[in-house]
Amino acid sequence: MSAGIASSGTASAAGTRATAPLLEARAVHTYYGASHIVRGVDLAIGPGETVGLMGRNGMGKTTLIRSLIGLTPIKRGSVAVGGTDVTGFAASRIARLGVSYVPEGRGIFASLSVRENLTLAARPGVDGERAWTLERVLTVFPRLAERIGNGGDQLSGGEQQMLSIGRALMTNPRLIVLDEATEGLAPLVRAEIWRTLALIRAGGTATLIVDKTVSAMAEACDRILVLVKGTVAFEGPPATLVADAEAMQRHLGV
Amino acid sequence: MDAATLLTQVLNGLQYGLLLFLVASGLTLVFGIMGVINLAHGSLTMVGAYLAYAIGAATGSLWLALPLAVAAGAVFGAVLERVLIRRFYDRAHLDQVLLTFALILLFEEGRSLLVGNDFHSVPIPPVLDWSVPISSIFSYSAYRLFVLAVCVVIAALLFLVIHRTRFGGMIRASAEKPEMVEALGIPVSRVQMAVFALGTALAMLAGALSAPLTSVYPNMGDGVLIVSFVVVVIGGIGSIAGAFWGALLIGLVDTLGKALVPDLAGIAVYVLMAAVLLWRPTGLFARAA
Ligand SMILES: Nc1ncnc2c1ncn2[C@@H]1O[C@H](COP(=O)(O)OP(=O)(O)OP(=O)(O)O)[C@@H](O)[C@H]1O
Ligand SMILES: [Mg+2]
Repeated sequence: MSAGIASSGTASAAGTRATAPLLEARAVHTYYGASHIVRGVDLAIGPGETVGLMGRNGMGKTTLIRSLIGLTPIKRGSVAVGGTDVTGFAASRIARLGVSYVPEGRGIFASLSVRENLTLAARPGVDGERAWTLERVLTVFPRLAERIGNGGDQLSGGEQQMLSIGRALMTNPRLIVLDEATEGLAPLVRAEIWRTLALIRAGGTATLIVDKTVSAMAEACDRILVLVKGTVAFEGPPATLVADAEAMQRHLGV
Repeated sequence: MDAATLLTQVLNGLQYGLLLFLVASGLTLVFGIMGVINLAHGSLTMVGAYLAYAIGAATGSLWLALPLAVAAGAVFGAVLERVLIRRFYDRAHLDQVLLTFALILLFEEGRSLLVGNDFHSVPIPPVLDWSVPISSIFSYSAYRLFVLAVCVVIAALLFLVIHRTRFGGMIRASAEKPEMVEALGIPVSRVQMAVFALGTALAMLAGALSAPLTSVYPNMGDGVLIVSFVVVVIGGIGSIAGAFWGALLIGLVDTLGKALVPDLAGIAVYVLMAAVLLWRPTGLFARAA
């Protein structure tokens, strides 16, 4: 078993193997046609853990995420969710094992209202609990309550991002994967997104966060991975990464 | 033309338009969501019409044929999607066109083997075989009014399902961002199967409903297919509201055109399509990209 998992100690429901990571990827390779994008990535996320994924533009972060959740087929390697081997599964089956996704660009359904976006995939978690309901999401994002009848295409960027996160929460996931959730947003809105992620973390839901803001990532994450040309160039606690000025410069350009 | 004739033609046009809507709605959903050009969609109305004929001949009544056309259509559509159509979602349009053209040939050959190549009239159910006196100078076929009413109810139901239910939300979301739907845990392949089944059921129902009006005959679906494509293009691909208004427009223009200017009968619909496309190249109800 991979020993590097910083298990947060939030014991999962009885009956599941306490030692099994929530998500475990082994030697994942992904291609777009002939281009070898993800080149042998190992990654494990424990229950309740917050993992950051960083790297310069085009290093394969989005491709890796899409490989993990079944949107882009992997060529070699394996992915398991909650101890179930999901390699080759349709994305919807992986999602139903408790993985939710907040994509780059937010993925809001423009032809659906805010309410419809939120309720479309609402369901209890794999443990049968409905920790997140429409009421709770609207309490966390009061802006969405004001916009509940609006079309998905009538929202500001920040509202769309809240909607995308709210929609992911409505599936009561064990793991939320967020790709560039604060990109292109005003500072105040970014701060609100980070506060929400802290709330999700406090609730015991694991997250895999792709973001380029080093300071916020250092605060939010239990562990950070840095991707360079499709391989993991660094993995460890945020403090170690931030302390290594040379690695920061080389891998992240900051 | 006197008022009574004009009114008759308007009602005929509406009734024809609503039947067209049943066909075009399935065509536009299948094309909008799965990107498949289903040339066999018109042939499915032929299957429905012959089903009505066969059931009418066997039981002496059309009543059983209508629910059966819907039920058989749903099952047939689901099987067709699962076994054949699904394999062509990622293929080029030309492959899809070849496949669905092959289906037309299969359906017609099947029809020929089972029922032969003759024209058959399908009797109007006796309870509806009379004229409703609407005013002292004007009466209208009860069966045509029945068809009108059934189509209006189905159009309303379809609209409610698509715009007011979760399943309808899945259909709209799948048309827009299928990957996102999938990533939220909703199997898009099931939505696609359901949409194809729905479209097939509606097309077969339209065929069964129109059988007493048009009789049944070989290749009767070809004309329906072409006009339905005109409706889809005018309304905006993938838009149910567009299919509805486009179908009414085409139904009225075609029917009134034939009555008022018989010389232009054949081309009125196409002139209308050209005019609409010049004005709005993506159709009346296309969503802004
Ligand atoms: N659909 C695709 N087909 C072919 N190549 C692709 C595709 N998507 C991405 N790529 C290429 O794969 C590489 C990795 O892209 P990816 O989007 O995974 O990087 P990223 O780390 O998420 O970048 P960014 O920080 O800009 O979001 C890039 O070189 C990109 O050009
Ligand atoms: Mg990316």
